[in-house]
Amino acid sequence: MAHSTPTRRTLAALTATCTTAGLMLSACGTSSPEASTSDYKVGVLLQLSGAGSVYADSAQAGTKAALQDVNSSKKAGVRFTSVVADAGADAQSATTACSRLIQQDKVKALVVFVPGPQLLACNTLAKRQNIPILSLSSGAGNICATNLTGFGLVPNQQTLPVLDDLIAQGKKKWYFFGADYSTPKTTISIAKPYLASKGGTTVGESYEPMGTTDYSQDITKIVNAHPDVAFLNVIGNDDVALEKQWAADPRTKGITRVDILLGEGPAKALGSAASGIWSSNVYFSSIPGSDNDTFKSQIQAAGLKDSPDINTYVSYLQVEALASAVKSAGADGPKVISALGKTDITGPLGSQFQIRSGFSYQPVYLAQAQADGSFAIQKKSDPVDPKLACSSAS
Amino acid sequence: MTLLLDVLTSIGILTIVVLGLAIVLGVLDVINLAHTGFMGIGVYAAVVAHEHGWPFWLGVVVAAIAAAVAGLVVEVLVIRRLYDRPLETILATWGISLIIVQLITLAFGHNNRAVGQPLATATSVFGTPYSTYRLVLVIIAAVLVVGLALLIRFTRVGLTVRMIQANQDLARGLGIRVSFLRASTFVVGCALAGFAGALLGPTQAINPNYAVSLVATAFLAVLLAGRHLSGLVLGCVILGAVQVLFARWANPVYSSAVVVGVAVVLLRIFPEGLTWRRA
Amino acid sequence: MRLETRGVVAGYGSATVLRGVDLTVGDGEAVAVVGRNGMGKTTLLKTLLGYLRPTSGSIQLDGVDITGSLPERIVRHGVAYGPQDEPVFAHLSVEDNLQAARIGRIDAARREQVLAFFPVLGTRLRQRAGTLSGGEQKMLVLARALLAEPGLIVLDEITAGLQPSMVNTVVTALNWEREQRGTSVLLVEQNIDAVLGICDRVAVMKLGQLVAEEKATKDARDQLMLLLAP
Ligand SMILES: Nc1ncnc2c1ncn2[C@@H]1O[C@H](COP(=O)(O)OP(=O)(O)OP(=O)(O)O)[C@@H](O)[C@H]1O
Ligand SMILES: [Mg+2]
Repeated sequence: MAHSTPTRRTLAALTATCTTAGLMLSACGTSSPEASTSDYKVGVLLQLSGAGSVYADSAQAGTKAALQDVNSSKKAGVRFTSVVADAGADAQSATTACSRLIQQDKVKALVVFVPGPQLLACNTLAKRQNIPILSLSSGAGNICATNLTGFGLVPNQQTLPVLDDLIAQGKKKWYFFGADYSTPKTTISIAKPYLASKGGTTVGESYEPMGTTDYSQDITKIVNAHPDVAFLNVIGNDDVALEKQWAADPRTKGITRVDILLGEGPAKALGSAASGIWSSNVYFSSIPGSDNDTFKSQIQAAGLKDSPDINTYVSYLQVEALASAVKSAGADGPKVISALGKTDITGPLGSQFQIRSGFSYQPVYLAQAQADGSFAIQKKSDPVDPKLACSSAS
Repeated sequence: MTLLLDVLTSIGILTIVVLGLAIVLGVLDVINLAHTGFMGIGVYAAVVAHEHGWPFWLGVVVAAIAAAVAGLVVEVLVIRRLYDRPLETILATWGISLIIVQLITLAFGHNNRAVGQPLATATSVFGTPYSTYRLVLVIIAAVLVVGLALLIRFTRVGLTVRMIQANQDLARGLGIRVSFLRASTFVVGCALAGFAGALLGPTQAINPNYAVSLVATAFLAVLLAGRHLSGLVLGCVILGAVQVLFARWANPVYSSAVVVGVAVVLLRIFPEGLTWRRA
Repeated sequence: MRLETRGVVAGYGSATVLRGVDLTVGDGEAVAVVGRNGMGKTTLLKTLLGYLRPTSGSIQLDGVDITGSLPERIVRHGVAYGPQDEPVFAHLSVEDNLQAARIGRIDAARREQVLAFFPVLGTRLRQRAGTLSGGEQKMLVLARALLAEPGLIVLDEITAGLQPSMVNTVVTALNWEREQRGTSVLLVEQNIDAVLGICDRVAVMKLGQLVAEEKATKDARDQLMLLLAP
């Protein structure tokens, strides 16, 4: 076989290939125009590339709609501007993006929507400069810091209401299946003793690594354990694959699925394959009422083609909460951080949204997927106290 | 019985994914890192077909055609210039895969899409009910492998391919249009990728990063395969079986690691891949 | 088929090997190129077949300019080539190697006639060509060239390593082919007796040029031996 050195032509071809790819990737760092020095600049960090980019569109729409709302209703006292950065798929790229936001763009607060490792990486930089971070994830309640506020639910808040409800329906034998990753493991470690305390039994528990594509043997294991409920706790693409394969497997008939990590978009794409899945969260687009209708049209005006989902909702709340904190405390980092800790606002659904010791306190909806993949709301349960892995803020 | 079917269907699925990759590597010595990209093109073609209300199987055909067309463009613009330079093709195909993912994102957004749920019924295999669709995938894999084996063994096209594999210069001296055949092979490999992409659509999440996690095992299988179809089948059987059986009887968390381990050990013993060719 | 080269200059990278070769093989004619080792005979054939691109000069087949064409295109004009190195697909069977002779279908009667010259091949059809003996591989190369039904046969040292009786078979087979089909022949050879048994003319190559030419007659034998002597 001929072994030649790279020629000019090869290099040109390669360079062309890579530059095009590079351009497309870096085209994502955008900044809103005509910023003035009195404005309050918000850094928005989320995954625009890699597997996590699935959530980007819906989250960004929430941020955008909230920024419009804050500015048009003068909710913050100052004008909010925003800079978006791509957190990429790993801690390294998150660090790069974050330091660019902090050092180059000089943002005053960060609204982030990234997984635990990337959040930690970014927070290392932000903490030093007393920059508040408003995060959707909190590493399942494992990540605590003074400047950090978690807006999503921690595992016990999301899991216990659905456990209560299904146990009340007489479904007492549970199988816990999760991704081999901290959030599912924490969730399941909270769910098991709670189930036992309510008189239920755990008939099995197993995990698969992230990136698994074939769940046939896991489904076999679950089916063979004869549970009433399969608590399926895997993430993102894997979750969709698992649910598709579960639905296509005739042996799974009669086993109730709980999947609190299944988003509304993926459920919709699953269609009939999602039928019957129980989920719980602080927002579903199918929540009835005029408040939600108003919220939805607000989001659509911000350019989202699909219905808003949990990520849209939380992203919206993040900006609204920040606005209320800035309104009461001004632009100073430490003051905003302390004001955020006492957040008490009315969310877009009309219910109270509170932050206590860095974590959210809000009502949880239980919903069940219908034959078309949409969720029908079954119950609205009262806020649950967050149970945190990190007991005190560091 | 279920375990046997699990193993069998996992092997079948792996084979479907691997085939296009293996053909391109076997004939062209090109490691096509854009394989998942072409699977993505395939599945999105199937998505479009599905959204137009076309039947799933027609979507699969459309998928193969779409991926073939994309493959042709890539071959003419890039791959053709890089034959016999393994390292550069790896880089270039990697770049192409990034571009494909970006183009899909631009065209379809990040959200999950669907291709429908064909054959969502159970078939009884010796009394064990099992997913019909997965069983059909095994049959398709078998048909593809047997068909390909017959093609390579008994047809003029097959002989031509074997001539090129064996000695490219000599093949040219016997009138074989090597560059045409290379292009055709690459296109067929991409068509198979698109076909595989659409076929796995009903079992996987469909978004721009489609199939990325499928492919790690696929690359291992192809490395194991060497340059022969028999080796490929053997590689898929070993890796598929190890993965499923280990996940079943031991801790699934480590089964991927075990698969890599088995592949590495086998490659140590058979550096040329699992072929019966004498050195 | 008529082959004509004018002032062909070619080589490997910056190393020029052929320094202006003028060679003509007339339609139905058989010509041999002889010369000492390393003089550029194989290089000449590789250039004629399109494996090397001449830096200047021209090559024509039946008046059609093929200078710089790819081997696969040149071969498709009706040229059968038996190279000096790796002349068979070692990993493929003898049968596959024979099938490789032609893009189109191989005529059954012709196949029988050709294999009659080399009965050993007929008994080894399923054996891998690489496991044939050196001499058997040479027979395979010649059989393949004949099966191609070419207009011009180009063979690089086809008799090298053959036992005397097999050299005779080669001579017989090529003469049969010339009589039957009027095929032109271009040989690179070391075996002068084989050359005289087959060819009409002999050209002598020295340092990349054809320096002498003789009619291939018995009388030329001593003259040629002298030219080739060290
Ligand atoms: N691939 C190559 N790269 C560089 N130089 C080469 C190459 N092949 C041959 N040569 C050189 O070209 C010259 C002519 O070689 P060629 O093979 O044409 O000789 P030849 O007349 O066929 O000799 P022989 O009788 O030994 O077969 C030699 O000096 C050889 O070293
Ligand atoms: Mg030579």
